[in-house]
Amino acid sequence: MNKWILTAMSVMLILSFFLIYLLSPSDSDYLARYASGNYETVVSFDVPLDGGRIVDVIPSLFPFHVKKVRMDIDRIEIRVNRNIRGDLLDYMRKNLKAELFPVPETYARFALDISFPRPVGNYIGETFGIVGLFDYYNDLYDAHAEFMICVPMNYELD
Amino acid sequence: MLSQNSRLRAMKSLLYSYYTDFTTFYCIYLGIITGLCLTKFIFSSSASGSSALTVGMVNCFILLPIAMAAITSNSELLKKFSFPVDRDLVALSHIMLILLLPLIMLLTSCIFYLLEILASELLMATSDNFFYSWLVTRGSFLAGFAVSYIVIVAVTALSWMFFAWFYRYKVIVSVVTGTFALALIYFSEFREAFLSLVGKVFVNPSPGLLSLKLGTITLVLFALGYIPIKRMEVK
Repeated sequence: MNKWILTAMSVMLILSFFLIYLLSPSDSDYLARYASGNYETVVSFDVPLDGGRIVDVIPSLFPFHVKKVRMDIDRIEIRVNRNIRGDLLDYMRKNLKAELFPVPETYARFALDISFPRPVGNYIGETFGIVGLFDYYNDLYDAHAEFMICVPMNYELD
Repeated sequence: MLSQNSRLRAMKSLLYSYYTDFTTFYCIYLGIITGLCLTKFIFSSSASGSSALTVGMVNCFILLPIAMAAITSNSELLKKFSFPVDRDLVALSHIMLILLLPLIMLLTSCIFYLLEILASELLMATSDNFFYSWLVTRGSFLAGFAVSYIVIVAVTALSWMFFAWFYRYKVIVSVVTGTFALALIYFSEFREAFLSLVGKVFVNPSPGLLSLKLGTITLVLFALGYIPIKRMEVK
């Protein structure tokens, strides 16, 4: 009996290792998931395009990760990755609340207030934390973000 | 030939005896990792935090040195000596444990990782506001597993060597360790020299190079830990 349990456990242990390996994407597939083309706009704001301006994002989008990028666009956009399990994109289209407040008179500074109307859960299945010792894997994991906040080139993000 | 067979049988029975000892220890590991994974899903609305792979690895770092402290104590070691078990066999069985236990424990964390993913799928099916991301890639998983294994083996070998000396030469080892710890705290030059030595192993390596360095350190630690066990008095 003991012998059978041990054998079954050993098989399970080895199988689990190979299952994770086989189900995981390669590094290039993983990076492709978080390429700019895989994010879709859920909210956008028309903003003035002249002069230098600053956008403060409040509060953080915990428990999600956010990339803040400047790109050649004429609006401020909040984009969501379409590859997140559970259809985050559809959920955020229906539920995300975002408002852009200009600082009175100067319009040099904007506050972007983002909130979820009800609590959301997000599980992130990370690999062994020890890979943080290696720059290559740190860069790889920096690519991961569920949200992307995009501003025109003349805007700064705080 | 006869003697070889008898030593092989002795080794098998010794390993079986350690296997029964470590069943309890393994159950403690399972309990801790189950508890941590469950609390993440039950008490945290976000279910964020380290995944089972990292939780299992950190548990190994904590539990295995404690296990080494237990198996190298005089009372535990003397229990294992019964003809034809000798010091060499005991040291060899310890080395086998140091090599095998991290592997079993890390593989167990892989099962828990899959269970976490399963739990996430279930939560996702039952609620419309739960999401998850699979961040493991093939390369990061293999590198993480291999480096975690070799680091845990090195840390376990270090604790095994330390306790093997400590239980035999308590006063000398306490004085040396105490002096070393005080020097680290109070002498900044010594601390910097020590940290730069550690940095040479860990800063900016590739996974292969780090494994090679730690593998060499582990072999040296095995040799150092063997000395007090070889010299211990068995009544």
